[in-house]
Parts: sequence; C-alpha cells; structure tokens
Amino acid sequence: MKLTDIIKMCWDNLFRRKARTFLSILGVVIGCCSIMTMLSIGVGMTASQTAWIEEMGDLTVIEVYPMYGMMGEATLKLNDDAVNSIKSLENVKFVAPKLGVGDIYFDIYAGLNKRFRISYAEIVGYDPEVIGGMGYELIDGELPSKSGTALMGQYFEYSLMDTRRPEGRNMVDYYSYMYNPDGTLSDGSNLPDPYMSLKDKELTFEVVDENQNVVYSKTVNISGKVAENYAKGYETSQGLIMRKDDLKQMLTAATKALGRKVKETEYNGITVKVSDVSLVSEVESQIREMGYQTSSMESIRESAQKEMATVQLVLGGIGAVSLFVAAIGITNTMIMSVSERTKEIGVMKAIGCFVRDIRKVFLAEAGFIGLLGGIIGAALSFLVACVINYIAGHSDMMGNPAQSLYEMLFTSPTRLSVIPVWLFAFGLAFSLFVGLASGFYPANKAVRISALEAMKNE
Amino acid sequence: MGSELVVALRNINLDIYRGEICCVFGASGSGKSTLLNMLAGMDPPSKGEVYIDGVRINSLGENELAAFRQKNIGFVFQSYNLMPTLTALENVALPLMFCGSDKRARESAAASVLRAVGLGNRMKHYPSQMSGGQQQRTGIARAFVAKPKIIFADEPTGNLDSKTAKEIMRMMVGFTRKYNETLVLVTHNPELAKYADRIITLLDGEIVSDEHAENTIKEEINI
Repeated sequence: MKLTDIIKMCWDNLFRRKARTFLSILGVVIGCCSIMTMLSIGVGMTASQTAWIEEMGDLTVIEVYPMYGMMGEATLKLNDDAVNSIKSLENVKFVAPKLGVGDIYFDIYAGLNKRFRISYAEIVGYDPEVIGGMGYELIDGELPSKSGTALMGQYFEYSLMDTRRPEGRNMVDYYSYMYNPDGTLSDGSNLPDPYMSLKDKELTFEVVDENQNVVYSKTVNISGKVAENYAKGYETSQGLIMRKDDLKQMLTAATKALGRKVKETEYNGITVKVSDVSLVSEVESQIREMGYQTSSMESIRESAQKEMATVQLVLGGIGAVSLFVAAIGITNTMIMSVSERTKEIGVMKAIGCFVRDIRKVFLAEAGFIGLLGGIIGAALSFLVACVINYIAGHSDMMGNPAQSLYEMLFTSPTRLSVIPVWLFAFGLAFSLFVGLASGFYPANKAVRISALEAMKNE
Repeated sequence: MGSELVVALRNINLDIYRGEICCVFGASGSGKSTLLNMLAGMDPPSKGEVYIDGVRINSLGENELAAFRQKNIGFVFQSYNLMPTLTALENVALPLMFCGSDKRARESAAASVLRAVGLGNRMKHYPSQMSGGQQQRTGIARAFVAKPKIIFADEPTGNLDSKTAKEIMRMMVGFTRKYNETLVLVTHNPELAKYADRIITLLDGEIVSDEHAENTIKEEINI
C-alpha cells in the first residue's frame, strides 16, 4: 500500500468514529498542554535565573583564592609560581593576580597641606596590561599608562575626610543618598559633589612606625575613574587600582623602612579569564586540582542548573502523568476499534493485504490522534503561557511598569512561562510518540486477526 | 474450540482444473466451508497439502501468502464484506491498492469492472446506500478486478432472494468463462449447483460423489 492510501484509510476510519476520535484527541490535547506548560515554567525559571547570574558577573571569569587551613592560615599560597602554573593551563585568556597591601597600612592624603585624609581605601595592584583587559568601565580620565598613576573607584572621592572640620561633619555620607525617602534605589542625581575632585590630583601615601614617625612616603597620581562594579571587586567603588609593580615596590620599600623582613609576594586572589564560557568548568576543575579554592559564576550557574533540572523533571513529571492517561485513552479507543473491525481486517487479509500494511494503518490512526492532539495542545499551551505571563506580569511588584504588553508576553526575561522552539517541537514529537506507542499493542492485536474472520457469517 | 478433536475433512484427494466451475455441495456441517478455507490458504490442514498452480500454499509465510492472494485468488463472500467507509469504486479497487498500484490506474480498472457488473451509476455509493444485490455485484467486481486465476465463492447468494441470486450466479459464471478463470463455489443450494461444470458432494467430511454435470446452464451470458 502506498503511504497516501494508508493515510486516507486511517482518516476515513477516524472520521467514521468522530466522537471517539474527538475525545481521544482531547485527552492528548490536555496531556500535551499540561506537560508543555509545566516545562515552560521550568524554562522560564531557568531563563530568569540565567539572566540574573549574567547580570551578577562575567561568566568567563574564575576567581582563585588561597587554600586556608584550620587556623585561618593560608596553607597553599598564591605566589608567582601559582600564577605561572595557572598561566600554563590551556584555554586561559589572561591571568590577573591581585596584589593587596598585606600587613602594611598606608595613610593616604590629598589636597593642600594634607588637608584631606582618606578614611578607607581598598588598594589592589594588577599588571598594567591586565587593567585594560579587566573590562572596567572608565567613566573619567584614562588607564594608568605610566608608572606612578592609578585608577580610583567611582565613589572613592567620598572617602575624603576633611581634617579641618569637626568629627561627625567631616565627610559626605554618600550611602545616605543611595536611597530615596520611599526606600527605592536612587538614580544618584541628588548626590552632592565630594569635597574635591581627585581627577589628575596627587595622593600621598605615608607609612608610620610605632612612634608615629613617617618612615615612608610616596605620591601617586589619579589617572581616571572607573564605574562601580562589585563583580569586578570592591575597589571599583571605594578603592584604588594600581599598577602591580608600583604597589609591589611601595610595599617592599615600606616593609624595609619599618625594619621588617621582606617576604615573598603573595596575592589576595587571582582572576582568571577563560577564552570561552563552555571551558570555564574544565579550567576551574584543573585549578582546584592544584589545591586552590575557586569561585566562578559558571560554578554558581552549574549548581543552579542542576537544581533547575530537578525542578524541570518534577514539573515535567506532573505534566507527563496527564499525557500518560491520554495514552491509555488512545490504547483503549484503538482496542475497541480493532475488535469492532475484526471482520474488516479479516477481509483485508483475505483479499491480499500485507500484514505490515494492517499494522501501519492502525499505527497511523493512533499516531494521527497523538499528532493532532499535540498540535492543538502546543497551540493551547502557547495561549496558556500568554495568560500566565499576563497575570505574572501584573502581579510582579518588582516588574517594570513601563513594559509593553508584547514585552510582558514574549520578551521580558522575567516571564514565568517560556516556550522556546525546542519545547514546541518536543511537545509535538512527544505527543506523536505517545500516540504511536499507545497504538502499538492494538496494532499487534489487529495483525493477529485471522483471514478466517472474513468467512464468518453473523 | 476446546480440546476435543473434531475431524472436519478426511480422505480428500481433489484436482481442480483451470477454467472449471466447480461446485462443492453439501449440507451444513459436511465440511465444505472448511475445504474452501483450506483451498484458499486461510486455514492450513493438519495433514496434507494444497497446491495452487504448483505452489504449495499451506507452507507459505504470511507475506508470501498475501502476495500470492493478491495475484491469484479472488473472494466472493456470503455477506459481501464490503468496507463500509469506502465507496463502491474504492471497494472494488481495494485489492489493487494492496498491490500498491496508484490511485488513477486502480480506479480506472475498478470503474470498468463496475460498469461490467451494471453498477456504472453506483460508483460513488457507499455499501449502506446499496441493495444486497448491488453490494454482491460490487463484491464480484472486487473479486475479479485483479484478474485472479481462481475465485472462491462461499454461499455467494445466501443472503439474496432467488431472482437476484440467479442474476448474481449468471454474472459470476459469465465472468469466469470470459476470462477463462476457475471458480470454486461452495453452497448447499442445489439451484446454484446447476451452474457448475462439476459437482463435488461432501458428506461428513468425505467426498461422496464427484461428477461432471450434464444439465449445466449453458445459456450465453453477456457481460
């Protein structure tokens, strides 16, 4: 039999039992719709989580920390050897060791006659070429291209403390301007200017000994200002980003001036940028094998993904139950139809129909019920997704009130129900598969009917 | 059914020749239907062999048997056994569809046979829209459409009145003669036996007589 003949025959038979076919298809529609809706909620949750993680930080970056022992001491230090061994790994784009100030305390002054004192500064040192590759958003000035220059964080100037004013009124408390009176985040327009702009100004670093005598002094010029980004470090807010060699030199000189022994350089952390997101977990596990602690957005995402996979499985399972019930419905319908058509099948065999064609006809009928149910169910689940997103879009207090209806339904990353193309295809394919699978037993039953049935006369 | 062994046929030794119209005659329970089922390969004998045109059909596999039936065997059933979802034309074309011939070719063949049985104006009718006689004529057209070598007819007029029965018989005999086919007719009705060249009488599963009929209805039947 030709395929077109099988399709025609299956259509005739389904059409003959309109009500039963309709009910079987309805079962699949409900099953397909519920499984797709459940999965779409899972997809939506994963998507908004991924969007959230991507907002949090660069996915290709791994932060490496020293391993600490039971007493809080670093048992495996991040020294230059560690930097070199990480550099030698494959797929590492660049390695940025982050130099801290360690046990040296710098007093930092600005302005005429050291009028302004920096109350607190997070000071880090990176290799000059790394500073360009870190992806800092420069809001003013330029990168520290010369020795003796440094970048400051966006709010560094607010750590200026006026030594001529009385305590309690000697600083601009920028934190209090972060929020509007109603508790929402401020856009910063009402933030007063700091006491002075440090752009192209000089900072004086001093180190004092136990007798408060200045034993070391050094000036550093501010070349520019970077936007605050906690994913790249607190120094982008209230800190200084220096050239590593400068900082190292200052630390060594200060250590000597204090009469202490100069120790091997140790880094607070190493930022490792990997050439591609897909390689992050591989590189990260290699670094972990060296014995260091690591963290990356990728590892956060991985564990979140695992969690989401479980949620998806549970949601999909709930949906699958109704599709399973629909499958039983199809099998039931098909068995009834086989027993009703016993004589017809006998006649078909008697006049020369191949067994395989009989099987095909019945599988086609069951498959058609599955496919049609799948198509309608998939379309319906799209509508359901719209309704869910509409309701969720309205009830979401954090939601952006300015988003249009179209955004709310189809593009917003905070949509609750998302149906990507693969889910659509999956819904159809799975329904078709369920149809065919539930037609398998009835088709075998039909195949076993003897041609002798044709000779029986009622 | 059950475990009791029933011997339906014994000592059957029968040759049927090409072009013969052969009537298997007997009362109900004589084993004539069983004989037909075995001849047509629907029910393999527990002992013995059936050859059609040199092929031992009781040892054919399911697919070989289906292919063999497509080429060599036509059936006319007592209760017509037309597909209720198909029109007369589609019903007649069904054996050709199973062979895999395309729609246009098989329907033009079916249409010409339907015209020959006088149903040229009933092609688009469904079985439920036709009388018993018309349905059986459709059945005959279906049996002959693939030009099989042998036609098996099991009480083909059992559900028809005597006038229609006569019509049907004349039609079947006419077709058989026209295409030089072989017809095996199973009946308990002596009226039908009159159309046969050869009458084989069964009683309790055994052949009690096998004779060439003398008063065969030889009148010319125009198809």
